Amino acid sequence: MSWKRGAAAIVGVGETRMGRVPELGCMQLYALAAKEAIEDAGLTLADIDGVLTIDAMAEPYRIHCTVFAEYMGIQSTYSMTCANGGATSCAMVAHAAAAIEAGYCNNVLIVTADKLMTGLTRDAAVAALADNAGHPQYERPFGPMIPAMYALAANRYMHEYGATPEQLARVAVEHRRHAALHPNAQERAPISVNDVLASKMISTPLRMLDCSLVSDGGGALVVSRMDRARDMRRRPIALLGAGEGHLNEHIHQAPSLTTSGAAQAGALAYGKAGLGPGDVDVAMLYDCFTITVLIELEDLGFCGRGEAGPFVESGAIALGGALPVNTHGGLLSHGHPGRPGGIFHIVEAVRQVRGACGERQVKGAEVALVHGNGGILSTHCTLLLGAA
Amino acid sequence: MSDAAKPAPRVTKDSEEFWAFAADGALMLRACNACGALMYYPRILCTRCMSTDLSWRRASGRGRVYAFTFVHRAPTEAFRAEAPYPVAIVELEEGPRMMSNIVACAPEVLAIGLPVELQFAPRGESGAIPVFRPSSEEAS
Repeated sequence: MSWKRGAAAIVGVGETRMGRVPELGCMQLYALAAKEAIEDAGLTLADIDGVLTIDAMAEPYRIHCTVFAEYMGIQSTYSMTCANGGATSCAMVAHAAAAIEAGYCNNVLIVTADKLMTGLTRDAAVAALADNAGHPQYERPFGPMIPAMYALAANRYMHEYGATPEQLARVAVEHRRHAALHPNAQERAPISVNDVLASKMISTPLRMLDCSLVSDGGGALVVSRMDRARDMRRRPIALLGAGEGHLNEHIHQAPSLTTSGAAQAGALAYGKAGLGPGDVDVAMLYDCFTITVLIELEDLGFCGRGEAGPFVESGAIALGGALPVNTHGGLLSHGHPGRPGGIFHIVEAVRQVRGACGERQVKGAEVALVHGNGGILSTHCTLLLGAA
Repeated sequence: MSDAAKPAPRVTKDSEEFWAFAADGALMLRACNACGALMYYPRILCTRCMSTDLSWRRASGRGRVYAFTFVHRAPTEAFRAEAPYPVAIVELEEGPRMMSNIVACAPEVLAIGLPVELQFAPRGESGAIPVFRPSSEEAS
């Protein structure tokens, strides 16, 4: 309730190598991402007094946050393992700011990693598959997978608005173009709309290249009180606004398949920040599938209902376009280790507002929006970040 | 059909009766006696007014396809044998939506808005799950 615009800031970011990383264990990925973020902030282990983590599928623990903290050598006054699907990373930033405002702590380390590509035991792979299957009574018996459930939204969206497979494909193409400019992106070879349309059908209308990657990797952030952040190594990137929206878990219970809790999350974040879609210079949108990006573009007010397809086709989400989206390549091309997926969008947003993105820098980027989406368009959190 | 190898519903206290009705060929909605709300799926209380005074109401079995997909990449071996197969969200004429399969339907016929009617497919040891086929009568 007492959470104030700009009272907390992201002061450090880190990301491990992304893609196939067989030489590092899961907890090692957490630790290396955390080390990079703490050092980026110019802090030491002793400065960290809050820890938020997401448990890993490859190496799960009963109380993950304190297992990680003990491994790392951190003792804290605020600690929680968080789980809200792909919205978790954004929500951890918002909740860290709230905890700082409430006086729980001053410097919160947020860290998440997993090894979906090379780290899953047979049991963990079976568990991952079960995770894929929807409601155990009212969905799983009918044989959906996560891609099939997003495909239901794509089917309905295309029916309502006349969006085309080419427009969905263009989302994947632009992401790959951006990933080519990111040295740590997993997939950097250019693809064309025709490549997407020729890739293997997964669940109509979604093809292989409409779907995100499977990766090893980890990411970390440090969130601090703004009055302390000003004296740190990096220019602090302020949390200007945050909002959440959680309408349903299962896709068959969704009030709509063409809009989601992102609309509420975005409206709350804009309201808190005193900003609107027109103020956003660069957007990092959760892109588990190409359709997700179209729905988010509309829910977050970047285009009108049904206009996201033509918006993407016009080149608007590319670097140099009206609203560059996912300049790191997103889950579609930079990497998707599962639960950690959403953190890399935040890392990239911070780097954009710092002006540290080199040849993929959006010129004059002062306000970045990040949106996390979890489940099947189920859980939503929007962040607005800006130069302090 | 190799339905024996497909997952049976994981029955809970909320759904013992629901699945028993299904085994007898009835799709049941949960009706709130206090406010009149209709729910799919069954819970211990009404999601509109929290009343625990609930009863069962048999669905007509008529509905329309709200969204569908042909699953090419299936979750298990039993489903893989039938891929691509249609998974759909069906809007029942009573209002609630549910996930299901569309059966006995040529792929080119399946469309959003298609009128469908209920049938049951065997699942598990002696159970059945609700699926839908194209309607035999022209829905009004």
